[in-house]
Amino acid sequence: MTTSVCRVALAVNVLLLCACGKSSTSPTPAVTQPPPATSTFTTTFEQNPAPFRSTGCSFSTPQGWYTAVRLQETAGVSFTPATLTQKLDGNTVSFLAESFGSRFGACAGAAFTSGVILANGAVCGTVGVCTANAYTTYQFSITGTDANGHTITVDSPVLQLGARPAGQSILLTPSSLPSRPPQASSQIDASGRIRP
Amino acid sequence: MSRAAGVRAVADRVVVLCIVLLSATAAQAQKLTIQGDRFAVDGTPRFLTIITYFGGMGAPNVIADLHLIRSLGFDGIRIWPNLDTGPQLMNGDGSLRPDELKRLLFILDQAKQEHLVVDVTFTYEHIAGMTPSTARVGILAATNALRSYDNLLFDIQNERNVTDRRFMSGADVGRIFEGIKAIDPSRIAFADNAPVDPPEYAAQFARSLGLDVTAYHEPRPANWYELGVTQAVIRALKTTGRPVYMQEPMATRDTFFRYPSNDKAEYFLQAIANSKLSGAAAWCFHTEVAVDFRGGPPFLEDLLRAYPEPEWAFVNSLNARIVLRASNGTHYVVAEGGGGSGVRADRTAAGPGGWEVLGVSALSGGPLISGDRVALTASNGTYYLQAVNGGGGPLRAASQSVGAWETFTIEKPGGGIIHHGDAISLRAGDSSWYVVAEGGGGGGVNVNSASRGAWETFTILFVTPHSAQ
Repeated sequence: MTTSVCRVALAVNVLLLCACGKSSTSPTPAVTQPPPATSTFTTTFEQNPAPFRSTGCSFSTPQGWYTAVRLQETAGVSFTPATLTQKLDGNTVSFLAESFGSRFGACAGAAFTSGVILANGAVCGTVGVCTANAYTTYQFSITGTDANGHTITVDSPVLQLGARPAGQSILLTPSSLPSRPPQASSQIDASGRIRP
Repeated sequence: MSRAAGVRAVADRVVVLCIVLLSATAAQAQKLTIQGDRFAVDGTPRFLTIITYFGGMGAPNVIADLHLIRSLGFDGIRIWPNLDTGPQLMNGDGSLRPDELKRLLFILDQAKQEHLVVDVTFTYEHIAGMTPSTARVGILAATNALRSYDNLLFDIQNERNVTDRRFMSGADVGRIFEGIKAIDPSRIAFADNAPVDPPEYAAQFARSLGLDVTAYHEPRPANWYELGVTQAVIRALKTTGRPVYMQEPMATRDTFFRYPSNDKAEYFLQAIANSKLSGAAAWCFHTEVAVDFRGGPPFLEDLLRAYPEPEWAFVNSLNARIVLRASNGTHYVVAEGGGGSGVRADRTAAGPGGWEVLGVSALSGGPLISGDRVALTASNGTYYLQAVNGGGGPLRAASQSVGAWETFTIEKPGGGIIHHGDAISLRAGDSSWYVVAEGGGGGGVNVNSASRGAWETFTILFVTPHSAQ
């Protein structure tokens, strides 16, 4: 597609040059090919600020802030993400170092190609942080290359993290048996009652 | 008939035909047989997990109940068609009651649709005037009436060795067993024994009569669930060389008796795992909630939910869901997008969401034991994890069926039951390729490692109710 567009532009320029050579009329303004479009995104958090929740964040750290997010491409140019960076209070945090693919996937009912945000397509995911610590903002950035060769960075809006109730802490509840009850002396109904 | 009506009639016939064909397909999809000392379902050996549904004849919502039982991951039910809490199948002279037979057939049809095995346990003591002799008449009539079902077990008499109204002599059991086989040679039949006699007695009883299955109701000491106890019982029972059916372990509750160690799912989780590990062929979750549907909640689900422990916790443990933590201790395996694409090991515990939660099931049934072949599903429940080309390449979550490439062998050092927090490895089928989290986590996951080291070791953490010991 890109090659075809260049060939057409070249042909137009050649025709313009020929026209200039044969005419003495005032020159026609040169037609400049518009630059190829660049992937553009809108980011929509389902909730902003995201409320602090005491359950449902992750299997091992149930409390934290999280919300669904939708990343919509609007310029009609597909985009291949390369890196995902997540920040808390403006600082990149290593404990949220994940790949784009492990955080973003298909939006419900929409077409999806793994590793790519299609032209005019969207990806969805759940973002935030599962923690007992206190933070006030969350933001993610995605870098990558669009179909026209532009290297771009998509910065999400800042997600405000709602107030955390005082006293929240990680609850660890290891599974264990209660102490064994005393040994039973009778184990079977032999008294005539019809026991299921 | 108008043209539209004609088209509609043809369409209706097509729909009916489709339903009939689908029903026929489903009806052929669950055949119970015996292979050595194991049960086999549709020709594949399988450890059976069964749940008591004693009062099913009086259950008002059989369709919903059986669908729930299947959805929870059980392989079958145990029903008492002569129980006196609902319609009773037999008259005292052994004749079958027509309406009650229809009721039983309806239940068995639904069980078939849900691909459930049914343990049909007869209890002649519940029928007024019935004797072992007329019980024989009734059971043989039932054998004839149920010949078309190949997903059934016949228990000739519950706890036949208890010397009360349940008692049925070995000679009577033998006569009934021979009668069943004369009518339907393929019917799996046996009679169970209660722990008033030791397991050695139960084994000798089954052996002497040539019964198909050695079924035993084990003793109920406080440590009934422990491996040593279970192993000793099953070792004695297995001397018959026939499938050992742990048919009535500890009851979850009892109106008249206070049993020990029965108030937590943990006991039952250990018991079933220890039974499978010890070589049992089947194990029954012995809950009393479905004995009598009169006056209580009409749905089995409500009856189970009424007891968060042990009932609801246990029944939600069978379809195990897990996460796998890579050896760096930081990252978890994630099926990207919840399934349908790649698999990585870069999800952190601090990241919200559930794409790292995977379903896991032993293809041979029952709880996970080291050496089991397993299938793993992505969190969306649609896609299975797949070793591309059977190994030697990446791990993906893009297959919608289980075949050789979607089968993994789960292993842990020293073998045994897979517990929460164990270090395990996954090998592609029978190949020498291990699943490896590149770099020990934080990157991709492949199935191309020929040896098992740290990067091939994952910590398995159960999200569903699990045993810690």
